[in-house]
Amino acid sequence: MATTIAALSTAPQTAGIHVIRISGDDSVKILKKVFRPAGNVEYFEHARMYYGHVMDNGVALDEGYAVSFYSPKSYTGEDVVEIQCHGSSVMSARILKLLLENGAQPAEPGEFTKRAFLNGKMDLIQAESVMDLLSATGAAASKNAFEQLSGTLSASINKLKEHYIFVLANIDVDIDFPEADVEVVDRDMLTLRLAEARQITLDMLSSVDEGRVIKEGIKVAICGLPNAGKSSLLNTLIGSDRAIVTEIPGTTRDIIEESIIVNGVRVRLFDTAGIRDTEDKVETIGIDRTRKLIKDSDVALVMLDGTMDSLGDDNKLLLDVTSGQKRIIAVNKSDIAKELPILDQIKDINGDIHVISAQTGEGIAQLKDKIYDLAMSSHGAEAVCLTNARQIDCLRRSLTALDNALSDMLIAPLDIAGISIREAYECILELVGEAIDDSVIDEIFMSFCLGK
Amino acid sequence: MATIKVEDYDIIVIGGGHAGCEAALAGARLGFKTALFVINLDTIAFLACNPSIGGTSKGHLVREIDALGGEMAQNADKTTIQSRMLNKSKGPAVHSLRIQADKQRYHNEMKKVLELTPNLDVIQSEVTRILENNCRVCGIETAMGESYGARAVVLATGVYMKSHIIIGEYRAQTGPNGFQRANGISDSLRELGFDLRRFKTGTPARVSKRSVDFSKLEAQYGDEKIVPFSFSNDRLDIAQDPCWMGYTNTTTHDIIRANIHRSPLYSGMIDGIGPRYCPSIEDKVMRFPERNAHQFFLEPEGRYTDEMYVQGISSSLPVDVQRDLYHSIKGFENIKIMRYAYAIEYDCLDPQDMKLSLETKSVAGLFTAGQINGSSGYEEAAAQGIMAGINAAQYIKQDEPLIIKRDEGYIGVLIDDLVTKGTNEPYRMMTSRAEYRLLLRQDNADERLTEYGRRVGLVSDARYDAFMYKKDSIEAEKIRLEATSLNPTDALNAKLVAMGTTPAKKSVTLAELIRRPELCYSKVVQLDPPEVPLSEQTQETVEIDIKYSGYIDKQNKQAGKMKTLEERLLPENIDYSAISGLCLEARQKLSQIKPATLGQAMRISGVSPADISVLLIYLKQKGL
Repeated sequence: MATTIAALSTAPQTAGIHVIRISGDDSVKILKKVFRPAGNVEYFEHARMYYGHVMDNGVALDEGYAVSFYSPKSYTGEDVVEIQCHGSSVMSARILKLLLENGAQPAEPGEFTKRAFLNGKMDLIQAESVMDLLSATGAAASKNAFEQLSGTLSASINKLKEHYIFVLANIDVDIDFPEADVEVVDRDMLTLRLAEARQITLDMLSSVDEGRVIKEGIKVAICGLPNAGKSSLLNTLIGSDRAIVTEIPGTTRDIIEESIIVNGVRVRLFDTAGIRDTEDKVETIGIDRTRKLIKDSDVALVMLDGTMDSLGDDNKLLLDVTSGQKRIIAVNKSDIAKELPILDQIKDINGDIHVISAQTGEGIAQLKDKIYDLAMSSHGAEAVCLTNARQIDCLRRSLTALDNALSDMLIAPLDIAGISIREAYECILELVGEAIDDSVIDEIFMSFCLGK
Repeated sequence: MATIKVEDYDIIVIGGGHAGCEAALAGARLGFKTALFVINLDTIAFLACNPSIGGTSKGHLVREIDALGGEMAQNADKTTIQSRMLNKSKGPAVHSLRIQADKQRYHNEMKKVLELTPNLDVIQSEVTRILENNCRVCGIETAMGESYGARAVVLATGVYMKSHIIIGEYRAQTGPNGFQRANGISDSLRELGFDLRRFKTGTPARVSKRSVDFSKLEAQYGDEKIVPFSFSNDRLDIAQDPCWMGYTNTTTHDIIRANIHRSPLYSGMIDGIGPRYCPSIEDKVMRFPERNAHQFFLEPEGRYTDEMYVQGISSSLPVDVQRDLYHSIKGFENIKIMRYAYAIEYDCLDPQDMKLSLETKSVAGLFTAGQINGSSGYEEAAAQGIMAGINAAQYIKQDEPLIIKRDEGYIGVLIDDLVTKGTNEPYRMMTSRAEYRLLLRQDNADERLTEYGRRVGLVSDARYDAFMYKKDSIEAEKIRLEATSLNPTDALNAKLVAMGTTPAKKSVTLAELIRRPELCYSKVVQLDPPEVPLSEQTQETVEIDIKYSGYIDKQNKQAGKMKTLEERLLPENIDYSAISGLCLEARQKLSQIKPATLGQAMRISGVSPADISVLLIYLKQKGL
């Protein structure tokens, strides 16, 4: 029977909602594992929308809707489930990951459509266009699979391949040329290489898998003079989002951290002290801390009082300190000042300028999206989107195989250990979209002196 | 020139090497009137290179040939002078049998079998032309101007087509060992539209045994207990001869370096493509300059000759250099070279022009096997030979060809690799080429392939009954081992501790005990022996099946995943160039190779998973 597949059906960009589609025999079974509908639901009725929460180990990940379509009355002709979640690529990637952990497999490009066709859900005239779609997405997928990886990732992949080819070549030359006079590296050395491969895999998983943004949230340093309206902005941001407000105990009083969720990602707002040119020692400590905070932030949000006629020295200093950061300049008090004379003075500096009213909430929603977009642009949101659900799945399977291989290296004969090592290697090749080729055999002939 | 038609045959096999012998025997044994044409009858089943059969993965092939009802294993068992099971410590999938054969007797015995096989004529005559009618093979012509009719022809020309022997600056238009080469057939193949290629291989010198100082070499003896190659032989009790091991040294290497410009390989005189796994000594020295010594083996060519084969020192250097370099080796100070090492170049075809049945794509009824398909090795040749013979018979009967799949045998891997991927050098079988190594063991070759041999008609009743008995006893014993549980009594635990394993805390099955790394079948079974003790070979299969069942299941599952694709047939007449969804490279490759199944299509380089999806949809769309 065909496997159960899952993928994001909507475009991977930030949007109002994302739809994740699951298709196959186990669709509903998997839905039951990850989705807790509100109220008592025994059975998901055909084509009925259920409100509820996506649950990861008892913790609500997101709220949304789920709908089931039973075979054959569905897009693919199989049992299909669609989950509507918040439209952030990070959130949908997390949910997709959850689905894969619960038995779904990442869908190949165009696979839903392919299944729909093979199950007779489309007429023959549509077949040509399906084929075109498949070849286009397939070509793009195979071409881009590797290109999408960043420099460090592809360096890791190459290192992994090197380890596997080395280990497999050593095992295979020992097996295939038992009488040849070749110096085969001993088991301990091979185990060491595998352990190195394991570490690389783990590192890759921790970097591409959840990403720092998911773990740590987006750090936003809000800076500005006391009268710029920072507190109002904070309250507006928090209030409109029914946010999780946390005051971190033990931190100094001049930096307050609060969190809100934007597009499923935690945004940490740091209210900083002002920056002034000062001789005061105590104040200098505070200012140094502020500078460091700005430097560590993903986004610097500079608040300016829109009613001012000129920037003034302190604001100039602030713009100077934040100039190296991704920054948003929020010009506040649009409700009071109609003219906003300082806009003219800052029009040439880098950074996105947003006019808001912390008081009335004008421009706040756009500001949130802007923060999110700006932060994600540096964190490679793509790195955790659609194609990456497959890449992560490959890495996970590779790790499992590698763990088996490492325990086999302790007790099992060489050819048995080779089975899991080959599996781990093949997962990596699958990740980068390369077919199994003769690299191992080539390595054998290149590195060893063989033959009669 | 008008030729005289002499006789009509069902199957004509051209070439009497290891491929030709198996093909001719298969054809004749399946009841077809068969003729084997050989340029010189004294070259039948000639071991032109090393006097040995088997080795890793090659030994597996021999067992598979045997399971299908072929001759190679039987002939090896008849002529063994030393036998070893290699890789015993490296795991169950790769135990590999290798024997030293008596070269002359190997030839004699095979020739005798051919001569005594009903339906088979053995004829000395050089075939110069393949006759076809409407893209269908219909006979052959000989150099002596006669023709013979045939419904199917198997080409097994080995290294004889337009071959050259090269020793230094010396070049001779001859086949191996000075035998006459085949002059005409290359052109006939070209006329039929085939592209010919030029491959190269080589062989070391043969030296006189009495000139060797054995005190300076290390002896290597056979296994105490011989495992026969053929499943129909339970035991082989023979006296064994030793082989000898030695090393080259820096003097040897200096001689080679000083004369490398005289090597035809380096001077560009040889343009054929040689095998990487079988480099000449000059290659080894030049490619691995840091090594001060290269190992070699000295193997007896037989019991009734003084000649010995120097495995590891093949060369195409001039004879004077050969003499010098051999003399520089410890133990070879007074060596007498009886036959000089040589390289040989020959014509062969592109295996991508063949179907999985080994029938050529362009001429119906014309089959190819062995080195003509770009392979190398006696075993690889014989494996293709028996398949070509079987499929020539199937062709005449208008039955489906027999195709062994990659998860069923090394034969399947070998043929699929050749016809699907092609090869740029003489192709040698290796276990690394098989993705389901644990399924393709030498101990279970009969389990995998006897049914096929039976179905086509090459496995006799007696042989089949013996196989069924063995199969049933393996199954019964596996069930018994899984079902028999022992209570954790003090008595049991005392025995377990004595066996070097941990005591049982709760009841434990015999199978669970066998799965413990430190235990094996023969130990565990003492705790509760079966009513009828199993033969040693049966025990081995039972032990591996139980001990590694988890891994075997895993490989079976992997193979199972591919099954739908492997079984989805692609009609021969698909016009791939007209399928718009395929990428350009896929269209070209698919048109050229014309894969038989989607599984085969997937292994073609340049065909992506997306292309396979497109094909699936195309098939559905066309209702194919």
